[in-house]
Amino acid sequence: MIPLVFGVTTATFALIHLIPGDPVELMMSNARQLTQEEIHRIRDKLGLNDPLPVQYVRYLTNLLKGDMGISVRSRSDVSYEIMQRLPDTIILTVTSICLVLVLALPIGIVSALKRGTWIDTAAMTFALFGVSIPAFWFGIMLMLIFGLYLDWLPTVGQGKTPIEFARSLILPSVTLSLILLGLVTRVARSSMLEVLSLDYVRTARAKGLGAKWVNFRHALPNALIPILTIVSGQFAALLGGAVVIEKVFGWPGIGRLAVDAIFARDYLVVTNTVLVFALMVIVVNLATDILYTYIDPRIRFQ
Amino acid sequence: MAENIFELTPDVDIAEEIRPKSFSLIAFQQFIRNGRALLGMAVLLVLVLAAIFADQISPYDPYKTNYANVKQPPSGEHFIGTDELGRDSFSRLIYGARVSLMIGVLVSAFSTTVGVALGVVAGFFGGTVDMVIMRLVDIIMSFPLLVLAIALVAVFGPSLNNLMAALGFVYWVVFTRLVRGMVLSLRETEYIVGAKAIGATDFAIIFNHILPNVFPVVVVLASFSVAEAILAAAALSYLGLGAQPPTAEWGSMLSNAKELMRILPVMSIAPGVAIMITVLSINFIGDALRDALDPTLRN
Repeated sequence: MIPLVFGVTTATFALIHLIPGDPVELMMSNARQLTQEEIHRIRDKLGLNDPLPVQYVRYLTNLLKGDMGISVRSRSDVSYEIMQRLPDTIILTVTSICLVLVLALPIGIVSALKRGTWIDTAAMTFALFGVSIPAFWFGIMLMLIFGLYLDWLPTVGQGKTPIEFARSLILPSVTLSLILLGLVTRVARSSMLEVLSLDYVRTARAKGLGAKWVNFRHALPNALIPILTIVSGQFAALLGGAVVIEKVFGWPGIGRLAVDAIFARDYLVVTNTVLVFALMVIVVNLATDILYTYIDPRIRFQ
Repeated sequence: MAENIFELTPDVDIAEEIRPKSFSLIAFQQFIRNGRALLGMAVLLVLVLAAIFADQISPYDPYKTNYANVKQPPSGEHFIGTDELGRDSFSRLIYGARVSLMIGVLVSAFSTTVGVALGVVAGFFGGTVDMVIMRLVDIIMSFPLLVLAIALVAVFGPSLNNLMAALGFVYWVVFTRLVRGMVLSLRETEYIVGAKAIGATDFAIIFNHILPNVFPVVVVLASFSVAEAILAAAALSYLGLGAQPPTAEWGSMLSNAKELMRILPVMSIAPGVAIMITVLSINFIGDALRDALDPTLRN
């Protein structure tokens, strides 16, 4: 994990230095024209004239102190801006994951149990549409139906009171859940099918245990492990989708922060948000690895 | 009388049945029997033809503005109306197929080629090369791919070419990881060890033994990557990071339509349906390819 964090920060550092144009000029773009001498002085002050390795070490130590530089647009700390918006992104993604599990697990399991019936076909068609519909367009359609025509839910922004907040969360989180819904349904079905074909399930049936007991006490817990794997493995895809969907619904998370910053040429916000996204992915993957050892003793003993 | 002798020879059909069929023949037959795959092929063919002959079949010039005729609702003249500049939305939809299919094919072709090449090299030669390639893969995979693509486009400037380059740059890792894993296990198989023992060169082993073995899985993944690239490109264009105005592209048409959602909902619906149909037909083909090419799924 440590080398990965190191690699990810290095990649972000490289990204910052790939930005064409002089950072000082970018920073001062809306101020008056600077002379060459002034630019050189500012560069000196910011340490931009130092050799790259020196800049790299400084970048890393600043990161450890939580210093990500100053936003060109708002003139406040980048880390402060990101920290302020981060909870909204986390709420959105966690709600979506819950929605995915609540919907995809029962559909996938039932379609495995009813393999080959019309229920199975319907569920798999649903899953196929799930992976083929552009999520942001699905969001626009929800907006059109539940916001404009039925006028049930707010379409843009975030509510202030708890109830308003919950109402404004519904459409973005349902939209975001579409990104994983199809895939998780498929995995739930196939992993359930696989477990049902194992010897211990057959033994349990042969002992005369009831179908419900066998399916839900014996088979289901083992079928959940691949589902955990896929949800954690696709967490990055979910965050990627969140960027677009936050923009569609005007949800004030770090995804929208990054996209807005792109058009304001506020590069430090863009690159550091990307870094935060990567760190979130790494943390979630690590947490999943730890979680495995709790839910599956076989992994602990290896 | 000679003719009779031929008639008496054993039934040819029996010989056909006994002769083992080749892998590709079985795969092909299985693919052809799949109804969804044929539907997907048919729809995709229509889309490809529409993209190629867009100049001939679109009723209007997709870039011709007509200020006397803006924001028209769907009618016999304009099937899905006109946009805020009076351009015919249906014609723009047809031209949009061109952009989306081109992005899908180019991004997939690039990431497949680079990804497979690096995966084979990493898996086959191992050692330092393997370590360097796989560390790079791990780092890129730690970023949400869409976010990394967005960041790259942001840094190099929004344009269709930069969008394709960015998507290509982030997608190859998927192929590398998969192919490397397969090569690692292939390398230990008896026939490759045997090939080495009789003095086959690395080059010959890779081209004669490794590539044909990874080919089926790569084809399946490549077909899904076309669909994924189209979805990602539409999302980025929607954000204004892909096709720039006035290019007729589905994602940017959707972002234009947002202002007109109340009065012209059809503009928000049609491009999304177009993306969905395209991606769905590619996924139909991908699913069928997987069923046909994966020997473990055969009975």
